[in-house]
Amino acid sequence: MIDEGRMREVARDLLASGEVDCVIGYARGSVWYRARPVAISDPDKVDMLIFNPFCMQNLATWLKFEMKENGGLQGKYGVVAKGCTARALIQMMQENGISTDDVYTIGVPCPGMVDPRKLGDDVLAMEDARVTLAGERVVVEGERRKVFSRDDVLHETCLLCRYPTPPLYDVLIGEGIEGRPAEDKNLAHLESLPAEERAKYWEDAFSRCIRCYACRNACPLCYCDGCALECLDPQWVYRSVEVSENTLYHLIRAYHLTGRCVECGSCEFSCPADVPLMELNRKMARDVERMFNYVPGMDPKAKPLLGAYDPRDPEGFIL
Amino acid sequence: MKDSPYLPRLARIEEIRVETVGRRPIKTFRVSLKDGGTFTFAPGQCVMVSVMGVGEAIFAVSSPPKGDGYIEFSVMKLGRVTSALHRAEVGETLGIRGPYGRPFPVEEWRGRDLLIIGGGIGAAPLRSLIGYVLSHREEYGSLTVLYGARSSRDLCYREEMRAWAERNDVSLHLTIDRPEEGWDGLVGMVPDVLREMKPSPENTVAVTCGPPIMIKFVMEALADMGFPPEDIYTTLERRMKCGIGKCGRCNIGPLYVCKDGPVFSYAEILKVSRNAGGGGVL
Amino acid sequence: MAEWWFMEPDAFHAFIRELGERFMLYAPARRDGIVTFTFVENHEDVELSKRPFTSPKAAFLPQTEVLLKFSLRGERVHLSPAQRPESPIAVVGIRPCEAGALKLLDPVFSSPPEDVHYTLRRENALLVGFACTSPERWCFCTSLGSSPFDEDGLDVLLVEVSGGYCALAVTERGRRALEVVRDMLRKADEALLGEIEERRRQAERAMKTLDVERFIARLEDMGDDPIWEEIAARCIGCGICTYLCPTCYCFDIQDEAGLTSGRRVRVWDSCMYPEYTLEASGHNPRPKRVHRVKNRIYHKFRWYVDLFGLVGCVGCGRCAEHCPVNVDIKEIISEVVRR
Repeated sequence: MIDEGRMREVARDLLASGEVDCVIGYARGSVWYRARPVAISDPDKVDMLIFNPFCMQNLATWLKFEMKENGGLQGKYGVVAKGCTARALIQMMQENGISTDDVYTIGVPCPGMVDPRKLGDDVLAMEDARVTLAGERVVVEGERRKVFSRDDVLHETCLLCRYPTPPLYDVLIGEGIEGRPAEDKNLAHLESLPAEERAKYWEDAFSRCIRCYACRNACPLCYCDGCALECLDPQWVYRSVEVSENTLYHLIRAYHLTGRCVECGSCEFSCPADVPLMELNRKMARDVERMFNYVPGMDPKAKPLLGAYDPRDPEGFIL
Repeated sequence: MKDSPYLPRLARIEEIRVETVGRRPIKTFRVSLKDGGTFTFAPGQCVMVSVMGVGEAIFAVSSPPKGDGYIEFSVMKLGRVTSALHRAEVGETLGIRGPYGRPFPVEEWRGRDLLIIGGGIGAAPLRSLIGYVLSHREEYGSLTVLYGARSSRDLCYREEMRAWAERNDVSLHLTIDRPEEGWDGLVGMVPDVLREMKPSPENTVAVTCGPPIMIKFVMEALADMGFPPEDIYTTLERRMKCGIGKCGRCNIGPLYVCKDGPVFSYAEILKVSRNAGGGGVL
Repeated sequence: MAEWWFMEPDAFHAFIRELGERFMLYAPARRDGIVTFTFVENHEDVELSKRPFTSPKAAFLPQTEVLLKFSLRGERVHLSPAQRPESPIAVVGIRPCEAGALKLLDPVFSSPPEDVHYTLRRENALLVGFACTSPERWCFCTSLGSSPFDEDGLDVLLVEVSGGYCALAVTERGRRALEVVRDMLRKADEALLGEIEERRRQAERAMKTLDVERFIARLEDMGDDPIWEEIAARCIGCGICTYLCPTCYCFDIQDEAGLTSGRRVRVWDSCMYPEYTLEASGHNPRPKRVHRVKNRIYHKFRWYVDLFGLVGCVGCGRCAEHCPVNVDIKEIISEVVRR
């Protein structure tokens, strides 16, 4: 478990010394199985900060809102960063979305996040509970105590995580954790399906989409001004919510995230319709890795995949 | 069976006049209904205009009500629908819904002096109002018009302005933001020129329309000069889709600009400004 | 027949099947493991056990709806109005709060000029409600003048009881609907009536009451309160709260056209999107999330009251349940009232 006291101390020092203007972290939610992002500027308020197994959102996303609404970052931000959060920040630096001077990374090695839905309705019905991750076990202690296997209740994206510790940080709270990704059975299964069945799978998934744009908005790397999805002239995607337009919407997003997605899973977590968005993103990420030996969000000085040319790049699709 | 309120009537473009050119050009369209019907509207009201296949946008009627079967509206080329309109030619078919909204309370203003203050394309609804007043001239007191634009090339309705200037029952003041060679009118932003004019609030109704920022400063200037908020009127603009108070987006607090406006008094605006849920009314 | 009737699962299925003969059935159904409100072809797909994440408003205000079609041939334009619904809609499994939500949508769409697209569907619809025997933790309908067994606005109210369902014909239309399976119904006995009463009490007890009246009053002078900034700071500006809300109705109208023909569609829109109010000039009267968050709350809890004398929220709690950043309306109400 993360030493929350140490994390608060770091945040307090950063704010009190003026090193950062604002710390973006997590706070308790209105119910025990939710956490929420919080922006703190007052060093006396750092006790709000928590880090528990429900801190799913990627906080790099909140830099994007700062940029969008204020025409750029207003000062320096401390960001509580899991591995995926730090990778998103690195990717944003790589793309010149933000600079290394804008951010102080408060690294937290992340043991993975619990998917509340996997705990079951009876557990969620508890008025209050505390959840801890201990090795292979997830322990829920409330009116009743219940123990789950980590593999059964973590978000799939966390079970597959290879970089739980930030590749880059200004301070690390506690010891780094080695990634031990599970085998990606879902992706392997999808890839083994005949094309028609794969098409059917995605048609079903996309037809559930209600086009609320939560996936895009929760994504730290969907930060473009004038998103292609809202462009009216030309209008690439109609607003009609039907499978053709929904498919186009998700494919445009998947392509725009190819070589950029850091696999934080915020999109899938935010989706109210259970669209398996990460399966799409992972497929693209694995292909990119295989073809170009490239993993995004690891080195702020690296060139973005699609911004670099290497004569050795495979070009099998041309011939 | 009742009809859909979203079903437009088809209209023919009878005439297109180029008002201004440049990056954001303005054209005025004169249209008639294809079903032979006439438009019944009052100054300040709006129509929802369709370019079928492109979409709809709402415009203030810029011609005075004459009952002759025509209406005019002026369009600045800004977005998708306005660009399509700027590509349109005489004879083409448009869709028209409306008229919508609450007009200027011209009946209430009988016997009062009128001070009309416009900027840029904001002259459109004011032109309808001025045309109305001129055809009911004996019912109103003095008529003063202050109209401004960025440059002389950006002034709309220049021929009519010239005609108004020649009348002895209209006092017309034109202003441009910066001096220009050959320009013999006023120079300066509309709110500043207005303050220099020092109009008397005595028995006067002031009406303004223009860019949001101009409206804001004009209304503040008028209030500073002693105009009671009830005697200051403006007509507002918002992004609109339905025009009939249902689609939700044009609200200022509980008021819908399409239905409860677009004409509002400054008193009404001050009242809804609190808790309006926006970055301000303007 | 203003009394309770017991139906065994068989009778329930027969009832739904019969409804399917005369109505377009709109009901919760499981698709790929997720329960959503949808038009169902097969009555066996109806599943009442879980409250769908979507609300049933889409039966009357579809997320995508053709308003008219047009053909374009040079200067000749032909418009064809949208088709009228062929058969009436029966919403099965609508919760009492959701029926209450329809009563909030009605004044918007029926006030002149009448929105016939909505009103025609609504006028002929049959609402078969399903009482909430175990309200969600996000629910607070009792704070808004309703309750988990509220019959108001429904034609029939169903309550799950041991061994089947009990049905109450609330309206004449509901009575006629039940009449079709009359032979399979038996009058609920004392024991069943007792069970219904007990379930009602349990459901109502499970819900905390919030002082909504005071919340509404407090909003009067809270326009500039920092609470809106606090909430907006975490809001991601997605459409979940508004799309899942049974009382949100805002929409966009867009043309979808090829070279010679096309259609004008109405689609749901959300006041949480910046584009919702963005004008072609670039001016945006609600440029920041804080303006939009505040607009949503004020619209429901103040302006709806000003306009229609009704609170624009029914306390279903979906906005909070599904918010990815835990913006929780119950918490907002308690917090404002507490201050």
